[in-house]
Amino acid sequence: MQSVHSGLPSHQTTAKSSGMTNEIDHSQLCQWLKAVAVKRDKQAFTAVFKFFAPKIQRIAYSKLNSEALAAEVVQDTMSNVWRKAHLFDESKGAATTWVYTIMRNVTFDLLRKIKGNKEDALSDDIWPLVESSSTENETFSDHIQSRNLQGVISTLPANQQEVVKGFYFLEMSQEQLAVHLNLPLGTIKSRLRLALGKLKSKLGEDDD
Amino acid sequence: MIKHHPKFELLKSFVDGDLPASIAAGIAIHGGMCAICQQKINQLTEQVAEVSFEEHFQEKYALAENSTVSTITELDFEDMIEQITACDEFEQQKTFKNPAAISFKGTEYNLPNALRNMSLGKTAQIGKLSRARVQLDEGEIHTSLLHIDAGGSIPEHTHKGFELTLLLAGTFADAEGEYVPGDFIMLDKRHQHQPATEEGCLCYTVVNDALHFTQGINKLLNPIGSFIY
Amino acid sequence: MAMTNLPLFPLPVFLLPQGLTRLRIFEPRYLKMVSLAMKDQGFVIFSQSTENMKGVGQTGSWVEIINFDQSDDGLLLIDVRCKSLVNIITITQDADNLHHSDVSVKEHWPDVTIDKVTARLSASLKKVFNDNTELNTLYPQPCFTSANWVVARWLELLPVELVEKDLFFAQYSFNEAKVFLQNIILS
Repeated sequence: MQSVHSGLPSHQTTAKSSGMTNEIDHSQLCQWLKAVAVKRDKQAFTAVFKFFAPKIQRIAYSKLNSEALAAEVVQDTMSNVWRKAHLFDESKGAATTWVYTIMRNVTFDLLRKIKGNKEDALSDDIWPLVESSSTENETFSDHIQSRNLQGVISTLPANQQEVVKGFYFLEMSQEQLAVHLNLPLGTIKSRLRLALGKLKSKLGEDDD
Repeated sequence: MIKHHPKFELLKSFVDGDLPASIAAGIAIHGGMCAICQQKINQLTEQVAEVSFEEHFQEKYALAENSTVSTITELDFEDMIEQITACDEFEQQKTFKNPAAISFKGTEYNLPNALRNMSLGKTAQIGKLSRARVQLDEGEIHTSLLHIDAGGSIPEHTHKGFELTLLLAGTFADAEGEYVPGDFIMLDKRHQHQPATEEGCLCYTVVNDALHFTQGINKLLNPIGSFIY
Repeated sequence: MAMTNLPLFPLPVFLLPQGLTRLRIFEPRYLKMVSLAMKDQGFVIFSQSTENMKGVGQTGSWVEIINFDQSDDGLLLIDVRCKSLVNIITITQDADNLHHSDVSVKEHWPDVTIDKVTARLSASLKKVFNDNTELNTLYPQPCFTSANWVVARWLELLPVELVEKDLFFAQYSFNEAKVFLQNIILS
């Protein structure tokens, strides 16, 4: 039997970790944003502001090539962070992704405005800050994935002829159980033996 | 099964916020119908966001634009923070301008969220075709909701620019095959087609008939385009 | 309720209803099984012999595929969830050497409300999950408040021979299972 640790593949299957570096303290940013949402914490907001504002200023300046417009993007983005903090959901993605979305949306609407289109602020409909039709998307996603799976299968090499079963057990080793319960391995072994003995005699009685 | 998806470059520009509202909305609607593309969009957004706010990226960025960035006026951040936090209210969920459904020839269709605040013009009809302009004021780019009634078709046509057809409901077919809701069909001037529908369908279309179009989109949509200039 | 012709996956693993496990699939006949399972009604994980009708009358775990991925070495990984236990009625083999089975759904434990013992087992199980990224990833929505769920997951995790664990396939074995876990984990 394989142990839990060696048993499951260790690679990450979610998109979350892809490309993530340790340079940004994501959990700290999340905590600040939560404090802003829950407690309207101005200190936490100041911390978030000091992290993002100078960076947003630089990004916006390079895109818009105007100090006044870059300042407007900083002001609008950070103002949205303050007024929409309750919409931030840590489980849906990183704080950087959330603030980026706001910044990109603010910039998009601003550009539409200065290009002489309308002041219609469409960005939040195109790139929503909250997912609205999640249930609909989920059923759809299952359907798509099942189709995609067939594609995956057809591309796999079919040359593995030997009867080998590759699978993973979700079973602890006796050692792991001992570590978890903070007991000597010998104690675990004897407990298992005793418990099995009791179980069998109990079942034996029932069968009679 | 959805077979036609936006190209990667288009998804990237979408995430960067560099596309016109018409095409960005088309990709957003496609993402709502195609879990695979939505996942790609989410991944890309996460990566772009992460990189944008990294210190070392910012430094490189500052170096590259050395002369200009160093001269940006320092903003009065303290004052800005005071202004922003002066009011404790959360923003209320805004309401949509358009109703959730739109009717063509007696059939109700759900309007995708991306279109719920766009101004829609009056529906014009020619035979089995009904068209409502989406008024985005994007110059030579024209955006519409196009309904083709059962048994209808569009005469063979070509475009000088590009043509995006996103099938929202129903099905249609052309020489290339059958299309289903969610299919994102981007054609440039080299293509010709003549879509026909048996059961009727509703499409979101974005067309650019101009001789010249902006460099950015030109490069994305028509690789030959960059040689024209 | 009875189902006909479900693919069988012979695998020495103990899986109770709501249990999840991750499988690596690469043999052609089992790729075919996955493809059939996606189109139809899942498949059955069966730890007994499939040869010579020996397995008839035994219990298997009827699973549905809930997720998939490709492993780093390019193999297909699938996550499956046990929908219910089933009695194996017949076993046949097709041209691709894939076994199929007619089955009937087998009732398992009735719902039990959480008590002092199961609450302690739940706390201990929660700790195992917290210490183990893989388990946490596999179960995005653990049900630590359900006595049945907690006891079932503990049984799957315990380092005990399969033949012993199979005793808990029995419909009225919940109390035995609870006492068994209590003896090992809480005494």
